[in-house]
Amino acid sequence: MPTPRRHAATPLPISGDELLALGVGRANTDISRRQLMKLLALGGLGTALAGCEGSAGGGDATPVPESASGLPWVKSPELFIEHPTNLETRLELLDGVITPNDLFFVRNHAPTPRIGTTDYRLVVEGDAVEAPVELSIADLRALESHSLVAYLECAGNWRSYWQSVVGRPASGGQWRRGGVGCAEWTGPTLASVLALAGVRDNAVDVDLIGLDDGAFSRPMPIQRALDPTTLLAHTMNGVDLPPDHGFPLRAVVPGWVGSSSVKWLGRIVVSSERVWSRNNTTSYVLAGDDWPAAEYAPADGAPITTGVVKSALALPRPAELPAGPSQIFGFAYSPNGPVREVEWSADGGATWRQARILDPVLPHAWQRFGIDWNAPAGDHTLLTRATDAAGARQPEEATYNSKGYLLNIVLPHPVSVV
Amino acid sequence: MTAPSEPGRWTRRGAALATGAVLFVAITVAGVHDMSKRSGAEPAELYAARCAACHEIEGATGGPLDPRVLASYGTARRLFNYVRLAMPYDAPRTLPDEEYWLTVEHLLRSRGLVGDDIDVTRETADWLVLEGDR
Repeated sequence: MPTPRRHAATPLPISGDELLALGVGRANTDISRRQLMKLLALGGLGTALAGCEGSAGGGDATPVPESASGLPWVKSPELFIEHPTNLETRLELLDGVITPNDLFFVRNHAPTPRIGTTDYRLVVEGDAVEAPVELSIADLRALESHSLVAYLECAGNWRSYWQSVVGRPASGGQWRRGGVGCAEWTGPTLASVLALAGVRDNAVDVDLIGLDDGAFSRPMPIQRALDPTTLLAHTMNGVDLPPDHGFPLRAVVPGWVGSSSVKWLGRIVVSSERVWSRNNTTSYVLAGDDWPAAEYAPADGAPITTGVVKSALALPRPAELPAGPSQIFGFAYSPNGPVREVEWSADGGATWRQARILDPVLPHAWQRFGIDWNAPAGDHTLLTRATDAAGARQPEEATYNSKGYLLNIVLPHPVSVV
Repeated sequence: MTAPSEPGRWTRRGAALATGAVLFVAITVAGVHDMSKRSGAEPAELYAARCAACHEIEGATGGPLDPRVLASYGTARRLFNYVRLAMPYDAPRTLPDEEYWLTVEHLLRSRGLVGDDIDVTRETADWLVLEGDR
């Protein structure tokens, strides 16, 4: 009986020595040789290198906060799908529940700022606090810390499939499937930090504001801010937050779309009124025929809070597999807690089989699943369909919104078996 | 009460006014628009060549640019920083700075965020506050 094997094996686009000569691996000290070789084996490097762009450089006398390279990020982009200001994770490089920091996607609205800890202060203020406070990193680290494993996903993840799969393009960064990752986050609860300033009974909204250029701002209701799962993380997967992920402090709001988890957090404003920023009025809103703007003024549509149930295979898309038994893994996730069930189909949805739910099952993490497929030669389309603990299931059809958020249809995954 | 409108933050009152498309430059700077400074491409032509395919068509990658979104950058400098960082979408950070400035100038003028008598340059950009009651 043939031994089941992992997906793999397309011709190597470049040799390992050539890879090292290009500096891949040196800059990524935390990237293991295994991950590099996995990338090679998956044939993704050609695309990765083709996507690299040099910096046009400055030329402006006025300094702006940005990484020393002039690029939007600090980490090396070679192992990512590169977008103008974002780095997208290649799901096929991931094993296990935890996304390593060096493989975690980056969604920046401005260049990653370099922030020193000496002068850093978190300001908590607003008309709905008793007394404003300023907190140093030492102050924040002195608070009781909590750890939780949570996935974060950009609300626009999968946006490119509105055009290529749904057939109706949507504006915004053209993400494939890698605007998502899962990490262990550690830090005090936002509630414990707010308590230092004293939250008044009339508090309505809490605005989280970053120290990046443009001061990214995403308000949330006081109830969500006080939820014990809302953290201010200083630690990601056991080490200080990397610069691209919010050093020295970021919010982590499990279940809510990634933009809510404001990076480089510098200011918290607790308000007795609703607070509107660009990121809950013109951006990160569901807009279109199904969301009449008049009902949501001053927002253009329904401000997005939580994500949606989804699943994705940890394969390149499209993928190439050798004929015979294959073991394929994937990730499923939902804001409603653990994914209860993942089904898969290799016949266009005529029949569905159960994927194996793999330990661990954690309340805010994504859920790994495995499928065993005796793949016959030819061109195929795999489908996966997740159902969460609340009974929400990925739909067959999408309701269009003009900015292309929250797409979670059952996504066809083309696979060529040779 | 909510803090008065600042770059990147909208008050309820301000947001309501924004629906009336009340956007204005709060601070003007010394200096009269000087066409003699410019050489080469005109802002509108540059925008048409480099940007319009994505930003003037509903559903295209960029989509139409809402003046409220432009104003949310707070200053012309911050808008320039973003445009230079992220655009053109298929080849970011590849244009000469001068072309980015011309593009920003066109964006601000065409959306009524700066008047014809105001220069949009690296020298003025930090003080060009895109105030708008946003």
